[in-house]
Amino acid sequence: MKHGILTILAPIIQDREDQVRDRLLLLQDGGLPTAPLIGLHFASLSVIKDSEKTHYLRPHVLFDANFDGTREDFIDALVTHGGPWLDTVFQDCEGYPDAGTELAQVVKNYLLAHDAGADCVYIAYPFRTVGQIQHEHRLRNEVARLDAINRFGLPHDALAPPRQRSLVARIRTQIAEIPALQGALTLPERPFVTTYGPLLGDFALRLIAGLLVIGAIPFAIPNLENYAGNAGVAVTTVILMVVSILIGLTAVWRPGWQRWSVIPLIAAVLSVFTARNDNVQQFLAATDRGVSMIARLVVAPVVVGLVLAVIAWLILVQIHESWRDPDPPLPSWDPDEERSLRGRERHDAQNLLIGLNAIKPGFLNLRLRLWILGVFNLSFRLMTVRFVLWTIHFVKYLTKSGRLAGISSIHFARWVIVNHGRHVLFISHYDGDWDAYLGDFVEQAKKPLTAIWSNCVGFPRSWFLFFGGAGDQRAFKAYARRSQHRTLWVHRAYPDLAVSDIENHTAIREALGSSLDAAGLEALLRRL
Amino acid sequence: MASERTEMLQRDDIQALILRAYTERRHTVYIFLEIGDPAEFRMWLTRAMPHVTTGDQRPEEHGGELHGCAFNIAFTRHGLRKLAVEPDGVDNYDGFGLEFKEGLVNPQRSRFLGDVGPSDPSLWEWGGPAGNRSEARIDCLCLIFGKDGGVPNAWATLQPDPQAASVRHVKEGYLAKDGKEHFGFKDGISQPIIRFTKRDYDTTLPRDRALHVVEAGEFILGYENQNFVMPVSPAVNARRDPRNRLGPLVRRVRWGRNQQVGNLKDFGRNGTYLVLRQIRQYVGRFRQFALDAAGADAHAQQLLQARMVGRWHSGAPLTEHPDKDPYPGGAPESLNNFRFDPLDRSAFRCPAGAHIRRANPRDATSEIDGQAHALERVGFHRLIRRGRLYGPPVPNAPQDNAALDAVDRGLMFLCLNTDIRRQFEFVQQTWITNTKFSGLIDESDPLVGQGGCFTVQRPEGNERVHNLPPFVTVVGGGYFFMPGIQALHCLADA
Repeated sequence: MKHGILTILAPIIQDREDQVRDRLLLLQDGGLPTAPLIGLHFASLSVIKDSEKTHYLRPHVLFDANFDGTREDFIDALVTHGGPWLDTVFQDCEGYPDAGTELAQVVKNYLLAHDAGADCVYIAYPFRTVGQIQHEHRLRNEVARLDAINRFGLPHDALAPPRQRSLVARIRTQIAEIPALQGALTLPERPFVTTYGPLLGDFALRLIAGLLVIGAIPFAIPNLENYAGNAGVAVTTVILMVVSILIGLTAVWRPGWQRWSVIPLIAAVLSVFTARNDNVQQFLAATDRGVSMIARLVVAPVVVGLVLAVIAWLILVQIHESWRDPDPPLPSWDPDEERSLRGRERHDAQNLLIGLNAIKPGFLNLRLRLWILGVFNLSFRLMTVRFVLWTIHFVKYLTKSGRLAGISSIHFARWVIVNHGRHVLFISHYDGDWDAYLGDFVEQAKKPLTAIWSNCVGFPRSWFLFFGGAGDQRAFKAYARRSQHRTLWVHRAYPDLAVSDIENHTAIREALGSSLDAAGLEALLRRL
Repeated sequence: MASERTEMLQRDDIQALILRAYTERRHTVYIFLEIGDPAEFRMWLTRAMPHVTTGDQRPEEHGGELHGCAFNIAFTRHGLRKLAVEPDGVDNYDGFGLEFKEGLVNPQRSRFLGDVGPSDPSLWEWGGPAGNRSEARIDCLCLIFGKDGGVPNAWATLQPDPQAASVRHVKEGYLAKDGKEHFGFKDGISQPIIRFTKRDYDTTLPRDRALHVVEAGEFILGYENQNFVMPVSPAVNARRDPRNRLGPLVRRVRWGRNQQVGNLKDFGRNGTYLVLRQIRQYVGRFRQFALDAAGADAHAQQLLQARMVGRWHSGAPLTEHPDKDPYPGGAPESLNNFRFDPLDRSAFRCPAGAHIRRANPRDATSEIDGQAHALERVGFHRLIRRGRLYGPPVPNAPQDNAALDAVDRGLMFLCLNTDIRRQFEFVQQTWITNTKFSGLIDESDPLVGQGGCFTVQRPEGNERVHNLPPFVTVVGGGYFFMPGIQALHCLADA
């Protein structure tokens, strides 16, 4: 089933912030009735605010939820079964009806209206329901138990392939007899994106590389007539061109080499300047005569224009970066805040990070901008961060590992632009320790990270949007801690499972449900 | 050429323990001092300063005054505060890491480092929390390394007056002649090669550069670290440095320029953080467990123990020698030039949860997490280890296992790094005690973890060993700062 998300931001009535905090801290997990919880993976409550004058955000209750199904169904279930809970949470928020959930439709509309959605969403296991995850967890435990029982007394090395087969067959029959594990031997649904994402991404990359090389070859082949009487130069040029084309062709198929597919193009461009290569002129002349008019008049200007626009944009960002802001403060930690945040973190299982960061104002100051543009905030930093987030949103499953930036410890993450484009809100449910998680982030994905957060106030200094910034690990971590907000209440459906566990359990189920060769049998037994 | 390049490190300003293990000086004494009158202590420090062994000299160059011993010194946050260097930072500049400021003994830290139950700091021999028998406030750690007999004489030369400082605790340590620790395994084999040191430029050493060479800034403040930025360095106000011994504190700002930060001086340069933990080893329990789990066959016992460690007793890695110890009589050099991938990708040789795989996963995470650049990532979490043994050696004659455990013996684990959180604590928490390390389910390090279960990956399916008791407990520890020589002079200045 498709996953839904909610990012409800409800403004708190003036001076009631402390009351709300106290109340939310007292909420217990059991306070939320079970009916809406059935499909609820993660949920949390916190109070977020920013008291800086230039990017002010009054205190809001933040309710974040990741669940199975649509948000309308989830809100329906929540309002129907969790009325008192909702009233406790939102009763001090502006515009929430005094009569609370007795006015069910009003509350539903209120929640829908205050949902900020998301600009970039990542889910490690899309389409997997809470029920499926818990069911597969039980299955794994059961299979491991049966494996141990069936093997009891058998010398370990005696587990030869025929024995493995009978062992697995026996486990299968025994599993099929357990009523609680009905359907365990059917194959789970594998969503297209996560199964074929990496392949698709790889294919797209090679396609682009291939087009680049094929497109460059006609230009790169020198016109030997122009070298008449100058054999040395001709031979050198031919050798260089052949080498560059060979490198280009290799780059198309060799993993990790795709970036080198620009070499033939560079060689072609250089040859226009340095040698008597008039392929371009000939091409242009040909297009005058032929159907390629469209290419000349439309495609080429668009491509060149886009490239120039991106370069110009990066330069603009860099100028802004150096021109306006003072150097961000030195990394410093507020020990009390650090202690309080760390005290709430669990150290071997899942944790939650909620960070709120103000987007840098553009070249115009805020008041002027609002005056000129009305309520629409069109700061070019906002546009930049929005563009980066959308790009990540669309390509996230296409990476080599099929994971967001190759990080295997995130369950659900999202970025939301809130407060009329003045803040980026980051919510991430992750595995393990905070430091290890952010360290992973820096080591695996410092460029995308820098591209997002270098548009925010106080981020370590960056270069041309992508460089610097998060590379300074301690400064980045101090920045992340400074922008982190305390979580007041959190719900986790399977608090002891890491992403790798969930993947492993699904793989066990898939292996049990399909016919296996010898290698498959061994792989299955090793997963237990 | 090579010698010029090694000048990249200011060796005369670096305490030699960072660069050298003093392996020929097998005897050590760890002396924990509490500073009395700070003025008196400064006078003592001024007197002791010439004896501090620096990276550019060999201890024998002290000219016999210290009886051929090496001497190094480090301070806790309490000690620095008494000597008017504020650990909480100056002028809104926060130089010392939070870990150092909080110290090793802190409820949250104990929880995530696994210092709970029998390792709880309230039971420690030294360095424990306030209100316990081990409360004695430790300000300063003196380390003396010497050959036979030299150490007590050296300490007699150095010893401060009672007004200057009082000795709160003394611990003696040593290196075994065969380099083995009490469990019987060769120890201290895997060490990073620090960039700009002689070993870095020694082309005759057969080695895997990507595997071993680590930027100097990971271990010495004032040089670029693995991120190619300067580690954050502690600072003092310029007033605290009247004789102008320290350089200005600079930070890199836009366009790659360096800019001085306020009126601050770089106190950290050429210094590092030192982590010391006294770890008691239960050798009897370790042997008894192997006997119970593997039966009476000596080879099976050895194999199980080797699998828990990831190396044979001689130090030979299981990844290269999976079946039997190739050097039962003692190993030659170079036991450290191996990668887990691709030879041991599926962990059939060295189990995925073995001690050496947890303490330094090398390139192992690449297969299990499906992640590239594993080696680069591991480079952010390396440590220089200078551990030594304490307590009587395990007797050669066969002995009752219970009797073995009645004797207090173990390891003085000592490591050096510039970011305690990212290096020592990360290794301890995210690798050693992590119950989900590398796809494993609910088990921790078989050798130094909390015990429980241990999985041996086999082609035929996983083999599980249950009911591991904890083989070690932590019985003391602390976080120290080991300053460079100029910073020491600055501390000694009034």
